[in-house]
Amino acid sequence: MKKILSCLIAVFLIFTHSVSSQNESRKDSTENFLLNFSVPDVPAFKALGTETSDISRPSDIQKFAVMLTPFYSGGKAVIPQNFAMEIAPWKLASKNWTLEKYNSKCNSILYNSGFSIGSIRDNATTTSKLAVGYRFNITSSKGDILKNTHELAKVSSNMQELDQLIIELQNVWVIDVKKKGPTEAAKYVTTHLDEFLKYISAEGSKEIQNNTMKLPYEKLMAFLKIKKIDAKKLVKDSASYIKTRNADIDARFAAFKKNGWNAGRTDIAIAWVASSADTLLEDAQFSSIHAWVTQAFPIHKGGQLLLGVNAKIPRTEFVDSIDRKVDAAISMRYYIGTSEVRGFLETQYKYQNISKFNQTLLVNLGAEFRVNKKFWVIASGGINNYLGETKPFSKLVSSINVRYTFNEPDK
Amino acid sequence: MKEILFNPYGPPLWINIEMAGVYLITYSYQLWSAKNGEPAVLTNPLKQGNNIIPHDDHYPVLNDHNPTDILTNYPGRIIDVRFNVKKVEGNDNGYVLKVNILQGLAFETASLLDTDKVEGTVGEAGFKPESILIKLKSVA
Repeated sequence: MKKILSCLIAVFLIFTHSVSSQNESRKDSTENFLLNFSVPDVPAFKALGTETSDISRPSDIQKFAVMLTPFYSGGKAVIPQNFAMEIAPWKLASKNWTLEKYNSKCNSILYNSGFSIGSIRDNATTTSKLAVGYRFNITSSKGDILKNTHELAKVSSNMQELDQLIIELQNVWVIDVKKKGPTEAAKYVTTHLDEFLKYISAEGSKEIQNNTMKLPYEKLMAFLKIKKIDAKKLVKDSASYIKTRNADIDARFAAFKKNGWNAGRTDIAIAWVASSADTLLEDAQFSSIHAWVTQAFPIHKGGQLLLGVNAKIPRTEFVDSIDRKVDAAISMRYYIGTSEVRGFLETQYKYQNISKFNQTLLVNLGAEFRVNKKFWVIASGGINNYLGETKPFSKLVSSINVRYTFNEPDK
Repeated sequence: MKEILFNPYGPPLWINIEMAGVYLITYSYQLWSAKNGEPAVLTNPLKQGNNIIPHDDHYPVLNDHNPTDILTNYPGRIIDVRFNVKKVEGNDNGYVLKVNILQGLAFETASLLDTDKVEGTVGEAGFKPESILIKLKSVA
């Protein structure tokens, strides 16, 4: 057991190190933290039982994610000694993938799957737990733009139309205005974007009225007007050109993202948990196996219903084998809101294979909201009802989590 | 600018464009003349494509103004392929853009002469124009 744990940790550390080294060499990439339009649940962390709710939230798998929780739990502020990391190896290896490959066979499932590792330490008993998990999701084309060729084709058609008009204008500029010979012209155009943009900006456009650029210039301006693209920003300089073109495409994707946060999807996850009497995971032993299946259904425009099942097969107390009895939870969570902020109402029935307090019914209210582009805050509070007792009782439960992901380490 | 050698007395030339990476990528291809006295841009209309709809991104390298133009006139002509790469989802794992030049009677049976490629990431901007220029050169 100890050897297996050591190997798993070593492999994970080597992998994360290689990811870090790879990214260090890509100095041109400055994308930092980013979380997509849903909040990830890392199975390795879920398996450690840090949250009252057992539902696995269907979400986008990031190529590298870190999760700290809880900062506040059960009425007390706590230092987040617990952590989990998730890595999506197929995302990292997607440089040589084509979109066609992504959309063929099970590749989109591989791309949207990730391995995770998490740990938790109990200060009172000094016991530590380590979990290793794997999850994948199957998302409809409403929630995965890479699968939505119709939407992508519309955007690319727009890009190509604009490219054509710009290239036509550049060709006339380099030949008739710059008087470059044909062998020189191609290179000149690709290396002098700023000069070209300056020429067609407000100052140069006066000259254009009297030369051969007039017709293609007017065609370009008419196109920009129809498509509501800011012509002044587009031609200001090369940096502004890139920014404006990016913003134009993002605006076209925005409606898709706004409407797609509650798309139908299935999340499936498994995790294996080991526990140890010390923080170094000495004498670690198998503790439990967990599995989650969650199905998300879109309910009208701003709502989403999650139906989830979680099963846990715990280790028996004295024998190093799994128990025949299974702990199980059935959950239902209803979200209402937008891609940026939403509230939820949740109920969960849980049966645990223990002699006391083995049946609970949780009723929870909560909210998820994005704090700039980097962080999500998830807060919830509710009542956990202990059923099946001679005198059933209830307990208040509350939790605040902060989640973020590193899509690229900071440069 | 990469120079690619071809046989001016051989069969037609072909261009094949490959786009790898989980991004939205579009391209425009045009062929530039090698001398004054003929249209500067020999492709008409502009050839365009993208990486979304599965299709064959290959074209005969032709002077559209004079389709019977013989291959001995091709040395010095420049193949100009301009790409736009747009990040679609949260990840920026890198892309590889390739232009292959082939020679043969049909694209399927043509032999690969050489390839030029460009690779990178789009970075924080989320959008990046790229270009590949190839100068055709006679082996003779």
